[in-house]
Amino acid sequence: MNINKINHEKFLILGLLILTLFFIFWIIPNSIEDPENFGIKDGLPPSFSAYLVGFLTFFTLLFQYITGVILIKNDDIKNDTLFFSREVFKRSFKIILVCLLYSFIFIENLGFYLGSFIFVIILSFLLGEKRFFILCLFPTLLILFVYFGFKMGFSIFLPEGKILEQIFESVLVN
Amino acid sequence: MENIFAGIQLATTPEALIAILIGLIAGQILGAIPGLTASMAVALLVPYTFYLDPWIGIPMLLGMFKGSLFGSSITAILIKTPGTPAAAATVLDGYPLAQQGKGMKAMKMALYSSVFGDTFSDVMLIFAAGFLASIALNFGPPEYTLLTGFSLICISSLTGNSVWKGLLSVFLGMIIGMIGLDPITATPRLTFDYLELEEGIGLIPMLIGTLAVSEALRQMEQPIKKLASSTLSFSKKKIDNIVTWSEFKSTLPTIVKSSGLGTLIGAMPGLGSTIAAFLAYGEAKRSSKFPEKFGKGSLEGVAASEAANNAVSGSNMIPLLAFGIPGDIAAALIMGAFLIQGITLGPVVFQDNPVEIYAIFAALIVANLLNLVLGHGLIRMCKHVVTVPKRLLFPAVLVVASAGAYALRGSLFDIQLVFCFGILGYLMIKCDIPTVPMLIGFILIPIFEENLRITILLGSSHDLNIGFIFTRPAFLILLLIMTVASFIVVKRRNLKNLEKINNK
Repeated sequence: MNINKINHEKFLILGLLILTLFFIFWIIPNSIEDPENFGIKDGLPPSFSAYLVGFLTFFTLLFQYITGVILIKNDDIKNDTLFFSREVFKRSFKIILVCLLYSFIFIENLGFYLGSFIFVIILSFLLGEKRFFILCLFPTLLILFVYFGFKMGFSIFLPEGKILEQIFESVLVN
Repeated sequence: MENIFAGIQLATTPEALIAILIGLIAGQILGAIPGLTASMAVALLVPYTFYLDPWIGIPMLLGMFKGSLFGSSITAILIKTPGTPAAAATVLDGYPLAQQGKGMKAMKMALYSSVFGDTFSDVMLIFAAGFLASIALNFGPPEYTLLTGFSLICISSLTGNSVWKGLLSVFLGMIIGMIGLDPITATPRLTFDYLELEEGIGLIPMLIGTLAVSEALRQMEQPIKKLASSTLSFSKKKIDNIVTWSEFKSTLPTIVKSSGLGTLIGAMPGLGSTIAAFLAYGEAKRSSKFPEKFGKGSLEGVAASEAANNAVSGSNMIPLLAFGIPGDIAAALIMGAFLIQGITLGPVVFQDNPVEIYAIFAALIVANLLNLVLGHGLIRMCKHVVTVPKRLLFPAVLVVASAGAYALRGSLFDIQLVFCFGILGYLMIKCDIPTVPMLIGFILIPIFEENLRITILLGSSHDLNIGFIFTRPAFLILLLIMTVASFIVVKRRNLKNLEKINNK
């Protein structure tokens, strides 16, 4: 499944236009509160720049949609394909999922070292490394390198993780 | 004069020299690893400079940047994988030379022309930055608003393949830059009562995510092909492995011309090294006695693109040092490192930190000389470096990126930001939206907004309202210069020609 370039651009601009309108009419009013009676003599209100950039984005996209998509020249449609093929999509989806798991769950719960160890094994496996020996040795060496570099070199303590902290606490209590 | 000597002394202490050496070695090796771009390598190092003495961290960073620029040409020449977009022009003649077994010759020519171009632009930087900074001291908020606005427009319209995507990217960066407390009223903006966001988005996690993680994600989506070292073969003839004096002499005019072109382009915000490399390549081909050799393994072609793309690296610090405006991503990274050390670059830095500025100049020149010496060593071991397997390299890059992001503020949120920006950058790359304007927009929005608001405030107390800006000579002169500069730039940038050259 390859998406034609012109369709891709059309959907991209339409999607971005909707997002921009959402930004202007929902996000800005709900997340920036201008002080009361804030007039031009006090300088510009805090929401001014956000609205300015929001409207500039909207008009840029609208202009592009009209000139680039509606009034498109036939020559430009010749452009073949880009964006995601099914294989690339599947592959990048898996990789991104692992990255999100690592940054939002592994590090916070398992700690940096254990989380990174598991992350490197999973990711290297997904990228085609099937040798068990390398899958174990490489993350070990990497973690040792980071540990000695950070703890010994810079005295930086990387996160230990909630689960490990709880285990240590329960061991200490007992 | 005292400041100059003090600066040289600071940059040539044994610690600083060792730092430059380490930076160069690391930069050259990282730059020569396929998939690790120069900016990616430097972005990974920036947070660690916080833990080093400024006069170890900053020379190391400068060395690393110069080293990685040369390293990235090695992959371009040997395996047709440019480490930076600018090195794509080097592929055009470097790779055919490598296929003829003359990879060593091409790499040596790339090294000599890189060092020449780099030194040329550093000398220009030394002379131009101080002069421009002394002019910039007379600038007020209206001039700064104009200058930052012009830079934002230049960067957005000249980076990438289409203007609207560049603009979109810069606007996105500006919106991200507004997250946090309003600088004047301290009202939270776009934070949704999320405490972590009130401090604003950190520059370093954003840089690491957008430059290093997004690039790693882009590379990892590709089916992994083994980089077979057997495809690299070098001729055994001595003449094919060295650059003779007559060869160097014949390419010298091209190198000088390309260095000048690269320096000029580098001084303009947003144009960057890719355009410089392709323009210099086109110009070299146009003026060459043997244009038919271009694209088939011309040493002149390698020299032109390398001299020009490296010349950009020195001159793009001119707007950074003179006005506090980073002209491209390399300057933004260096600016980030200085901010970490508590030094804000701009015209006043010449008054407040003159010794540090002269030390930077001295470090740049020293780094060039050492780059020349170390580059020869790297050329010999390049066979091993270019064959590092990606399936192990990228997981390691992501772990080091996370550790670097965490190290700066000790915040898990920063690690999450790194990956969020990595994914955002990856999606932008997939949609052909350039990421550099987003970073520059993010960096410039506080300067732009603050000066715009002060300008409007000044206007409200003036008889002519906002029209008072046209009564300021500095504003009018700047406006005139920018109008002329825009006209020249637009005329010079003929993308179709660049594409034609690229496609050949």
